[in-house]
Amino acid sequence: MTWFGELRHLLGKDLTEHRWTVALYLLAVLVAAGHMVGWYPFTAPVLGSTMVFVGLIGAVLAASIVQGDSPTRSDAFWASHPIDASAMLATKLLLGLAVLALPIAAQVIALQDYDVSWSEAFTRSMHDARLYALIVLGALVIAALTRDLKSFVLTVVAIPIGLLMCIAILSIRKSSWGMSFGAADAAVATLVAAGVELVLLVWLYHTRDSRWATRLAGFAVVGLSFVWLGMASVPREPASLRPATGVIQVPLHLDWAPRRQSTTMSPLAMDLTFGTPREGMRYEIHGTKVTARARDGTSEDLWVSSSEMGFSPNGAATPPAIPGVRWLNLTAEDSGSGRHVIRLEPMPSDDQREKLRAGIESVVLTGTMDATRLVATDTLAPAQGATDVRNGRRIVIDSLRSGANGFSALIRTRRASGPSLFSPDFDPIVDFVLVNRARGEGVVLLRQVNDYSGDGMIIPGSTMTSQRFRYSIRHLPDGRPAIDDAWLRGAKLQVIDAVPLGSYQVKLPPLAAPPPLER
Amino acid sequence: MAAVEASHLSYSYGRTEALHDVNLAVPEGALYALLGPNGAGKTTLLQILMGLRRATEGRVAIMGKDRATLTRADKARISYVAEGQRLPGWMRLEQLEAYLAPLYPTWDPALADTMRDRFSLDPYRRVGTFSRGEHMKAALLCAVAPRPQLVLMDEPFTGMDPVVKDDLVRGLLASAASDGWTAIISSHDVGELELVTDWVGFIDHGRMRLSEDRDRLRERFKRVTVISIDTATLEQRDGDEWLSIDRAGKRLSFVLADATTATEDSLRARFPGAETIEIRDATLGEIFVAMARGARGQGSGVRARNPEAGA
Repeated sequence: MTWFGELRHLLGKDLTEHRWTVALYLLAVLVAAGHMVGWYPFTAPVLGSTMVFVGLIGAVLAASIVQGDSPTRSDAFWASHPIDASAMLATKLLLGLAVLALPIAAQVIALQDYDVSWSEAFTRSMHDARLYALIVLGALVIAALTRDLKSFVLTVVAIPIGLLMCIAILSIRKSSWGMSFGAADAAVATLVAAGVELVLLVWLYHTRDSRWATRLAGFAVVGLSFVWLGMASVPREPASLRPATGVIQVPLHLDWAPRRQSTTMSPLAMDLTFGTPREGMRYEIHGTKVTARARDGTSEDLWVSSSEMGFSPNGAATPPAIPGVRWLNLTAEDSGSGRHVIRLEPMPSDDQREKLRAGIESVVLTGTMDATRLVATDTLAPAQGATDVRNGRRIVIDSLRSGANGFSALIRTRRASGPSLFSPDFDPIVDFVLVNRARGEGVVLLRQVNDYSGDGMIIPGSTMTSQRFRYSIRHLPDGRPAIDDAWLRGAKLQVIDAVPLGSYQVKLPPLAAPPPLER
Repeated sequence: MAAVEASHLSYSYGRTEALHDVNLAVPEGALYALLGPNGAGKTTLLQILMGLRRATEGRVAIMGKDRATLTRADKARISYVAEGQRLPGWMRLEQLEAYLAPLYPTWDPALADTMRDRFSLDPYRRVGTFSRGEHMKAALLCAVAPRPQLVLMDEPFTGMDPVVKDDLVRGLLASAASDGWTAIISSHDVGELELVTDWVGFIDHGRMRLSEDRDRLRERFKRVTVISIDTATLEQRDGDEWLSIDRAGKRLSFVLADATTATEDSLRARFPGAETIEIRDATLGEIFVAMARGARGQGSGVRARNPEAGA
């Protein structure tokens, strides 16, 4: 029998031996793929975590494949027969590769349902598969060094505990190796770790070395490979979110004024008023901090809650210009002042109230302003089940209510990119407007928080964002045309994507003479 | 050429030394009994010979070639069967045979059929469902059907009923005679080996105490029984030569190592008032017990023979 003949013979044996586990693995991949592309029986949200089972079954399958012909057990059946160790190792590696390739292939195919090109789908999936590759390879190594599945599972549990203890000890000693260790690129970390684990497997099958020192070294290699990959995979800050340049610091007319306490729970409640941004721009303030300066010269930072939600929560936005379309319900036009108001409610603690009781000289608000450009991208019919797929994103209208009573749609958006593939091009949350081009009119839809979560794809560790919001028509001022059936029949839902431009710090001038605090 | 030649083998499990400077030479065509008490190092030695463990020191040559340089074709001429050997329990016996047959150019399906019939093994049953005895029979079938040139057997008779054991021993004898096998068999069942083996090795505490041709051993080890009214003479001992000494009334019995043609005269001189002095060849079992007791200090010391003398 030739070497390749032996390889084929061993592959046949292993596939027959593990056929039920392989079938279970195929089923898990199928369910995960079905959930990803929205096949009816697999659409339940709970199946979004099937990816975890793909990983678990894959690891157990890889371990079983190796332990069926253990390189380190002296009673291994294959070792007492004329089987070439290199053919045996090649069999195990090929099957390990198949375990890895199956979800990758499934994900590449499923991504076609998200309008991702074959090449990009392949690149993305290979990127997503780094962690899983180390899981499969790690499972092969640990299985080679353990006697059975029970000791395999115990070792898998023990390795992170051991690592945590090591890290704890090292952190106590303030060792600095961790920083330099994690500085490598994730791809390099994966390749080096995989290379070391492969060498270890070759060594084990070649020498049948079962010494404890070898086992401990093997376990350490597997554990450290994950630590390294984890440290190297921390996403870099996208360039677009770095401090903004002067170009985007277009002045907004920010202003603020105290509110009457009768309308709020906070003694210091105030309105933050945004000027109208340019068309197709959105400004949002976050990380707001209110500092109250007491008359005795001391200052207190107060916790703040904001209470306005809208087309642009925590800020002001103007939809992108659509030629020939006027917006019927823009806030700026509503009020005639071109302003959008957010109510801020600083809530002093009892201690702070006590300190500030003598009187407040002024309050200062600081925060971070995010500037975003809004772009009209796709359109879809305002009908239940209508779907829009483009460049890795899938929008589906789950349910719809429209008619004389208004318009409300529950829209699900799934983006096939996870944290490891953070895309700086688009904000994952989309907005919508309704546009009736025939009438030259459009209405901005109000987004209401419903559901926003991560969802698994197929390759373990790869995630996609999944959001489900209810969108409804912001109130129409009196005198505007009614949004009725006839209007809606000629309307389309326009997707508004947000492109982050940058952030900058804002500090509002002190607001003098706020009301006195009372206990 | 020796079928198996091991020199200065040592092996340790952590701090426990399992083998120490073991030398062994098994001539081609020999049926070699590897004897020793539990924990003596028999299994470890066979595993090293088979390549399942790596000796920490020493070298092994199989059929004239260094163990590490054996080709797949060379390995196909060696079989191994052990008491604790794992068989793929998920396979049916016929699947197991089909899996192994292509790996051995000399696999003999007719012999496999014969052995299966002899052992009354169901080819369609999963190996994992076999009893301990059936498991061993299946392992033996797998070891013998390739018609190997060298068979290493570690406790092969475990769990077998006497009839099957007898069948197996006869089968081994027949195959060895017809195919010119070399076999190394480690077993506690010394009685069965008595009929089969023509070479004997004794290992204890990881050290090879003896390795000799069965005929020479028969000449050298004698069972002596002395019956004498003069019980005072029965109190005599010979520290080096008398092993496994038993005394009951006017009867003294022991195994004499290194007997010669002058032994009877010498004994008569030592026991002048003896009614009877009976000298016969010691059985393998008697030698085993005598050696084992000797090694544990429960009798006289044992003069070890150069293990390489067998070569």
